[in-house]
Amino acid sequence: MNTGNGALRVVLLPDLGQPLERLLVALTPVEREQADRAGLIGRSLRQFALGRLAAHIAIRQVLGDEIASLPVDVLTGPGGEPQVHVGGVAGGASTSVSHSGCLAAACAYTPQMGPRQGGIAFGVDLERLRPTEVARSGYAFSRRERRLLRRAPEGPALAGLAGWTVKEAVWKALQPNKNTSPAELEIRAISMAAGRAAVHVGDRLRAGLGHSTLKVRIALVKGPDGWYILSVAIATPCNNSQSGRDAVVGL
Amino acid sequence: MTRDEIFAVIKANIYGIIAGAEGKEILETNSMRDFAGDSLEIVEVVSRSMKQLRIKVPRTELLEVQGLKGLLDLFEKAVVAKTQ
Repeated sequence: MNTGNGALRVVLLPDLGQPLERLLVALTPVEREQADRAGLIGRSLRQFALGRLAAHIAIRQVLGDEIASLPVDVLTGPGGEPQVHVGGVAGGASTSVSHSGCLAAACAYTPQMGPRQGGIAFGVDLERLRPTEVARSGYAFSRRERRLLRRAPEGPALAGLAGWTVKEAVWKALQPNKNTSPAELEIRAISMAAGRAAVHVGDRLRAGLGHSTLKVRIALVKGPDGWYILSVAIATPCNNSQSGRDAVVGL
Repeated sequence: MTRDEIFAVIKANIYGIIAGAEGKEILETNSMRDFAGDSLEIVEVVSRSMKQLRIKVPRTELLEVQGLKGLLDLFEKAVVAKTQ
């Protein structure tokens, strides 16, 4: 996926039912220690391992030969966000991870510039396709969003799932502080056929983020046990010509 | 409606939606994450429970909730407010 400032790698890693020990042994000692400390067991541990392994692949793809001999740790930051360490040093690349059912997805990007230093910010979210009533949830979606999802040509169940992944991906990309409400994000348009969504970012959430353009891509992807919806959100830095424009950001 | 009855509604939805809860006892001290519930499953449990209990709790209040005890406290408050 081209961001206009380098390539963002998206890696999908299926769970093929291999023994958990084989997944865990592929993690780094620090990652295993974090999983232990978090008390992850069973399905949670399996998905954690799969997500970390997908992130390793994506990071190695964006960094290439220069880090071939170095260990890559994907640690969990204070807000739950994945933090990349290459050769024991923080940075080098950034990543976003999601898992659902029997599939994990990870994005990675370099250079090292973070969103507040002029680099892009991105987030990925994945959900297994399944019957859901989330499109009707007043907790997940505003009244306006629920109306939009109800009228979506692909039907409210699929549109609701897609809408949920869109909001999660955007939320991860913008990494707001804990006092920010998800109500600050509102889907204004969504099309599975076009693979795109338009999201309104409220003023409070935009303040200080330094991003003015937000692209969201949606895709149906095949996993080992069926279909999944994948959303990737990419926020790019403000430039002066865009500052002060309406907060509806484009697609 | 008693606190136990409200908790029964929440538990029934957890069993119905979160596969990892199957065969496990659900206590007030648990979190839905203990049963490997993902974010969408948690939203569905909360939304379906509110619908069945016929209550509306603002999203901002739900975001503050810690664990099932917090959710139960909030729902109990909303049920009491509705009946007064």
